[in-house]
Amino acid sequence: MASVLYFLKKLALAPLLVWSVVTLTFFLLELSPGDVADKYFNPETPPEVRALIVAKYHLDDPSWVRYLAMLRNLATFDFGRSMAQDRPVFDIIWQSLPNTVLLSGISLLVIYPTGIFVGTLQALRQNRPFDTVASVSTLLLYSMPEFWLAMMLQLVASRTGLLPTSGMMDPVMYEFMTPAEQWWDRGIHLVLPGVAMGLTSAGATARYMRSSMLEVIRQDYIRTARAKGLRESAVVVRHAMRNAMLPVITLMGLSVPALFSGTLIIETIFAWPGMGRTIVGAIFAQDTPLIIACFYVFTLLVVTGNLLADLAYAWADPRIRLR
Amino acid sequence: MTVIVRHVTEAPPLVVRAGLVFPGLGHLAVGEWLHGVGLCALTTTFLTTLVVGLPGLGDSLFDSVTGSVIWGGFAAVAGWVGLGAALWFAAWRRAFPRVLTEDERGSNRELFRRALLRHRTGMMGLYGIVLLSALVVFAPLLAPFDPLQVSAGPQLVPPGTGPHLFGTDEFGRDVWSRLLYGGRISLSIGFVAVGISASVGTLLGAVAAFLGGAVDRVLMFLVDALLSLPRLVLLLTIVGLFRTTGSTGLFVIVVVLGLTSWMGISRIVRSEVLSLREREFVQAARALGMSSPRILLRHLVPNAMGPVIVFCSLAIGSTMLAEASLSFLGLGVPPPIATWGVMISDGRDQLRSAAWVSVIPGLAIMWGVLCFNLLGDGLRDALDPKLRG
Repeated sequence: MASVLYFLKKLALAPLLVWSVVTLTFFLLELSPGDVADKYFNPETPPEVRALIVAKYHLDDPSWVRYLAMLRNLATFDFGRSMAQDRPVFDIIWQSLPNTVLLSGISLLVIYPTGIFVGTLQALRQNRPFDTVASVSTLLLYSMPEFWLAMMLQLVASRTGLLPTSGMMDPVMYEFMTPAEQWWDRGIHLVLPGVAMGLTSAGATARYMRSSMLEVIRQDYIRTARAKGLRESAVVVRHAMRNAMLPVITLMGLSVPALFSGTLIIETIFAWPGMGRTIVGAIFAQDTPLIIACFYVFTLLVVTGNLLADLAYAWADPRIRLR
Repeated sequence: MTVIVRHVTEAPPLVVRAGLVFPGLGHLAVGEWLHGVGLCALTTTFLTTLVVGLPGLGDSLFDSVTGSVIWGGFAAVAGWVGLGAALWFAAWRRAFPRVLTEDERGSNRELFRRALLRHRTGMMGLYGIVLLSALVVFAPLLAPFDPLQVSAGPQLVPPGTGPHLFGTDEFGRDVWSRLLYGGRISLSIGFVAVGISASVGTLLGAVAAFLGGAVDRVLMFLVDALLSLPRLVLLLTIVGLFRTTGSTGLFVIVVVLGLTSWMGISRIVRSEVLSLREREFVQAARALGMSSPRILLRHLVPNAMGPVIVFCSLAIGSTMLAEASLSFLGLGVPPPIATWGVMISDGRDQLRSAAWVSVIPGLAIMWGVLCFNLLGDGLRDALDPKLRG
């Protein structure tokens, strides 16, 4: 019961969190040097057009009026118009968000199953050669810049010619392919960015899982499970792993922001048309409406991710449900 | 009957004194491989710097054209003398150990020191960091070329040709020299930014825990909000918005890196202070009539520093990585200064034909971050009383 209350409290706090991030972003943009209206325009915009746009978007209003207007617009998903790209912000996000979700989804598939599997295996074979090799490699993965790893993967892929190194599909041949070939083409274009994005965090997850698992397998209830004659696989999977996963689930929720930081880098390197590249472009173009919208969408996703992690935690740990 | 307890320190074997000739050899002679190899590597660096740096010492200290003083050169010489002193002091201490008093033997500090010195990977990290710092501090003595000098050699020469240890880049600049000078910036960004975030984080965490109530709630909510933003997005936005044309400057980047990473530290300090506040020594201090701010500063904050130091060691690594990512996205340290991150992205265009231009600085970052991670883990284990032997 208490856990339901806890969850409801988190649910109630979520909009507050989103609000505070949006407010923070707004004031950050307000504080940055330069005239407010200037941030909405290309330098080439003719003055009469400029005057029209200033009037339409109330750019000459005082800060607090624009702040309230922004809150109202964000709540209704009306993000305004990107001045740099000259099209509605909503369309830009609508086009790039699915690509990012696809890429993050694939890298999550790399991160968690691989990390949990490797970490568990390491803990079961503690201080044996496999453990040492895996420990060293996860530590190295965890210590290298993500974009450097991506570049190295690109280097290997382009030297061997095994995998495409950029884009979402073949730029020329895609439209001449059969549907099956098109699926295949999209699939192999996903491999390199997905692996590059997932590998670093997979290393971190494996390290976490290993230490958590090492703690769990020394517990009395594991010995009890063994003593009552349970098969080793059942002991490991049902008794040890399930408990050792709990901190990893917490980590999952917390690592959503890091995952989005990763998209900035990986999408830039692999020319992947997603949110990461969109926000990098928006920041370089000082495209205020697009920046605010990107922050808003990112925060919504992060908050949702955290709530999902809480739910997953409650699912995995029955003690929380009973309490 | 009275028992007189005397700690008789066993005199170390005479071979340990070999370390007085070449620090590290003494440790190797008695089978202390970890410290032996670490100290030998440092001594080798020390002596190599002497051999390489001495012929051009005048040029490293004074600009021959203008006659002005080069402060980097003096810093290098000072660092070099310091490293030598530390090395021979270590060798001397091993050969003639100090007898500890009863109080010192059981003290927390002594236990921590010994636990850290015994921690294999942690010490590997520490030696790695000292070696790396020594190399970059000695840059004016070690670098064969000016890091900014275009056409120091032919363009894109592979590593190992002629005087170019690590080859040259697309403008014919010497990669080894750039690596040494770039490391100065990369490492100092890490140290200074983490210094900023540790100060801010400790202050806010302690204030939140101590004042409690509304202040605590607001501060922790702010922490939650900032933590739910992807760090790179935040960094990029701030640096992007506040870059006034032409002069982003190192300053902005360091401050922004520091101000976007204090949240973790403030959480740690807050929870430490909250739990320490209930302890008996705080009650004792209060009973003695100490004022609250004094208790906070003299008793609570110093006792909460252990986990903060561990966090800082790990944070220096992640700050170096964040700086590299920022440089890669084009909002890092402005040219002509080169950090390792800038060097990696500079080499991106010739990745297929001249991979070393990117590979080498990447390995350097990896080495640095790896050592800080190892040291952080070592410090954590050494601070944990449960793991002390």
